[in-house]
Amino acid sequence: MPHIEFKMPRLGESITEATIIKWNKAEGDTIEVDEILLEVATDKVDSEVPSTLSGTIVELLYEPNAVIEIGAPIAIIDSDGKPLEKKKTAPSSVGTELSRSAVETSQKTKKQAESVSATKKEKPQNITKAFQVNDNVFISPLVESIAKQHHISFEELARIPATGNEGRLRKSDVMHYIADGRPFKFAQPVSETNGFKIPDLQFDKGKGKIVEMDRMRQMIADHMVFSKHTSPHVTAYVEADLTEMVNWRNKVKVDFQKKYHEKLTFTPLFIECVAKAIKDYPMINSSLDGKNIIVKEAIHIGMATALPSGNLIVPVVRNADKKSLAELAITTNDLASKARDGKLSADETKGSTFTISNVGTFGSLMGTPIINQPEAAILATGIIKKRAEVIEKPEGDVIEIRSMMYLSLSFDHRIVDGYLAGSFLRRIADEMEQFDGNRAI
Amino acid sequence: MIKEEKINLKNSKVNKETLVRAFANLCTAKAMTFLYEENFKAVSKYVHATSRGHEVIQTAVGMQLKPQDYAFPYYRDDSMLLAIGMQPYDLMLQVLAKRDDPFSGGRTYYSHPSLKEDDKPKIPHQSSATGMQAIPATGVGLGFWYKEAEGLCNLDEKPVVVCSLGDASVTEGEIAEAFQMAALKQLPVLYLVQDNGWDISANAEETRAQNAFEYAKGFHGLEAISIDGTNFEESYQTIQKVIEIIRKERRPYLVHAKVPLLNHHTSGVRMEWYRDDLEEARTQDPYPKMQKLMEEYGYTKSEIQQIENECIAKVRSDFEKAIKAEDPKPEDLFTHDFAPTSITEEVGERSPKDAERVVMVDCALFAIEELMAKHKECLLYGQDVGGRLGGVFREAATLAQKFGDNRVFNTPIQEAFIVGSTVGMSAVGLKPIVEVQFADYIWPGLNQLFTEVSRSCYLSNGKWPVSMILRVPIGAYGSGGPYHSSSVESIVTNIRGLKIAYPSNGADLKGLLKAAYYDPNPVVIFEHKGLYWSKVPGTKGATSLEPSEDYVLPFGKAWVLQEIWKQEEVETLSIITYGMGVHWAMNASEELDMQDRIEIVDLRTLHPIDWETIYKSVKKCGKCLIVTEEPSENGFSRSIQGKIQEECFQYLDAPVMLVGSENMPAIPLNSTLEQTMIPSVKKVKRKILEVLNY
Repeated sequence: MPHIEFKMPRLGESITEATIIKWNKAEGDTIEVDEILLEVATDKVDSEVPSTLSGTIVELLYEPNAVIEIGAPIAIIDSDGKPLEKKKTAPSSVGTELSRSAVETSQKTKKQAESVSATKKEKPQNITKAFQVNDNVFISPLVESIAKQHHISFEELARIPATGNEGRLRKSDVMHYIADGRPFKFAQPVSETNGFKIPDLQFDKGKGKIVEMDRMRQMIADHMVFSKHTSPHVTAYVEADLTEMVNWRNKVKVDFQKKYHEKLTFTPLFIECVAKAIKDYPMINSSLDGKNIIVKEAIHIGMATALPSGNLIVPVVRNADKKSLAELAITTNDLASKARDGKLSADETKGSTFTISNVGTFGSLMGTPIINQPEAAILATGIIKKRAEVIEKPEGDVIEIRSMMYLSLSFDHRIVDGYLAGSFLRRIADEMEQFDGNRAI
Repeated sequence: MIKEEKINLKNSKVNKETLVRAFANLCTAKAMTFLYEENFKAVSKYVHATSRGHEVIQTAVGMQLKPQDYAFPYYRDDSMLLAIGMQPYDLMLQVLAKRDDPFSGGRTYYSHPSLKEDDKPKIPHQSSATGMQAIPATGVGLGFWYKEAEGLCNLDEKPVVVCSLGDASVTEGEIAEAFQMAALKQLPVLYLVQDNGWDISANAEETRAQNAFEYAKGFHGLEAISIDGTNFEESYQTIQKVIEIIRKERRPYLVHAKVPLLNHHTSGVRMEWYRDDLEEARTQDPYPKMQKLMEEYGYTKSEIQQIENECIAKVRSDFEKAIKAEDPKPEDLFTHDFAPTSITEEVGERSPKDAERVVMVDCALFAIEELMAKHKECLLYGQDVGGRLGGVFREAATLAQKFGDNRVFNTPIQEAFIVGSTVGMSAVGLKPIVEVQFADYIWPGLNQLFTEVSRSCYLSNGKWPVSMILRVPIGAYGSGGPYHSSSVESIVTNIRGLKIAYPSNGADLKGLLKAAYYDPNPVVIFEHKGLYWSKVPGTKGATSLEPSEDYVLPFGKAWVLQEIWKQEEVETLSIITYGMGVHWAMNASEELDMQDRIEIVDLRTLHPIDWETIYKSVKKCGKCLIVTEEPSENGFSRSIQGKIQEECFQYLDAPVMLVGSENMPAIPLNSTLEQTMIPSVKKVKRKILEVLNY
């Protein structure tokens, strides 16, 4: 079996040398075609170098960190006689020849003329099968027309080895690539550094009903994607014992209805607790504006509300910290009924500084809400559920039936850290637990 | 040789009928001035000047011109136009810039006539720039002289040409060139100088050392007389006598007529603002003088009034009619930029089998020789082209010997005359071929080329295309230095109304010269001095087998002299070029061994330009390089570059690039500096590779 020199492959236009980062194989190992032999670094990118041969590695000629010229031998492989199947052609060397001759025009007219004509006839080297994404692909109007004609995507264009100056893709590059059978057709974007590849998933539309998104749905979708892209979300959880609050509400709700002609729900009670906690931790009530954090003076609480259409809207209880419980009840009931009837005004859905989403309404134990931008945090309240709880008493621990609820707070980690978020969230729970059961309505 | 004869009027009387016609002419012109003032708003949308104060001398001249005569009235000469038989309605169509304006179809100002009617004197187009008509008018005189000398004029009564000037325009330098030639060649020109003592607001005292009468004395052979231009008898009889002298003796005459300016300079200024002599000027008003003369000839006051009333009524009714006339339509903008030419196809044998291979300069020489042998209307003049030398490049060698000194002659060093006289020559049916010695010396001729030659056809609404050829030896080679090397095509291509050729080889030059000769429009031919004898290395391609006599090459047809197939898997390039650039491009593609990857398009003519061929080539090749000898910035080639990217954008794989000279003010003398300044095969090669590798 022949011993064959494995040479440092061409890694792109204008790259003349590369540094070996590490060998993925040791001497004596066997290697297959396309198996990664080593990783190299250049001034442009780091790349993995696949083997073009299969066989046994006889010798690795350099240690990691060695700087090697392109084309220089770096390993000896005892080939088992199955070299990589030759693809038809690739254009890469033409450009080099031309630019070299540009420099040498005067002295070597004759010789250079020969070299140019020679490169035209000789089939240039193969496209390295492990492609590189050309970050700086220039798509000329002509290349764009060709791409359109052949249905080549920009992603695909970016993988075609470009031989123009400064890595520009030339007409001939694209035409060669097409002639080569488009080896990178339908490939998906890939992160270069970790080599992870997104599988070639195809979107199957199936046979279901097509529901066109209405404007509100689209806005919600945009808002959610934007929020997730913008803020690094972290969610913290606590649970709170709401027994006092639940008992009190059961006790007064009929009287409350009589007195105010309004139903007493948990919403105003929660808002009251949240507003108090915010007063203690005002940094929660903030927004990020470039490099400045704006700490809002007013406390306007948004209450995420499901609409009959299935969409979501967030009406706003303004100055929640300055309202009495009765006022909060009136306001929340009013906003909820307007939301159901689609009668909210634009002002009533604007300007919240903190949002509450009561996922317990739908029976959820807890949730990981998405921040209502540009706020800094959002609270989700779970279902209130009676559970057997161990209560510590001076006379000894007892098990009691308590009304318990999980609270979760998603916060923007750019503004808020775990300490603040945890303290704030705990304060809300404390406010709920320390509810005064003898409170007058 | 020149007879000096004092004109003696002996106090003779004029014919009564003549006097009445003249008085009516004055009354009509005066009524028009008043009517224009009365309707200032409507009439002064477009600027105009009237003859108020100048009516008598103008009438005296206009009445005595015959259909074979030529006249160059200037913009204050509406009385002269009436006197040759134009109606107030005709003139009013021009003051209102109407579609049926008989002179220009609404294209140029009031009293800027151009007329070609059988029963009236001929009026070639002339610009509005004062004094610039002197050279074209003298060119008409030169044309008469040539036709009479060569037996091309068989009229019993010989024609004269009248060049009308204001005294303030006589200070222009070009007037001197015109007077010089008229005096030198004894041309039958009447220079009528109306002297009202004013420019616009500058008066005679500030602007001249002598009046036109005194100035004329410096030109030996130009006789002059000074008269009172408000006195009809004196004016009429002097002009009568002068015209008679010119008709018979064939020599120039200058009549200096003193007149008052009684209306505004033009409708654009008000005389009350600056005229300090209005009182005095009014005492010279020809109108009361004319009334008095009528009385002396026996007409009663009421008869005189009756004549004037009729004139006023006519003017008023003509104005009513003129106001209602049709305006030009937007599409009228696009007519008569050029007169149609009969040469639209390549005809004849380009490379006859047994023809001799000749250098480019001889191709031109043989073309002109063939034309002169065939057409008596063809003549050649310029500096040093006459028999003694035959052109500094021997481009006219032997022609004077073959065709005589009338048909091939030297001019003084006056490029303005060389260029501008062709307007007059062409107007009398001749086909002048003229040349400036070097492109560097085209500048003094540019004024005539722009103001008179290029616009004549368009502004006369197609009546007076100027058929002429201007040969311009051009380009750098062999240390010609800063005044024998420049390229000027961007300047000339910027003048609309010219056809422009820039051939790269002898066969093209011969075919294009023939096409130019038969073209009724003005043509500039740039001839590269470095290609004349193919002395520059690598320009052997400029020599040609001499095309046959009937070979013509139409303008606007580029030549793809190196053609390639469309190739997808290699980079290909279209080079668009002309003149010396063709040779640089051919040599560069050969040295790079890229003849099968580079297409070369020789434009051959810069206007009209063959866009179709350019676009086809660029779209095929995907990349384009323009090669020019001019400095790269702000030029003709840059505009081609822009147009190509506009039209071919979606077919381009790289920016359209350009290689030209460096952007320095002049081509220096020293050969190293010269070579650094201008393009070369090496520079073109470098740029080719830059585009291909882009």
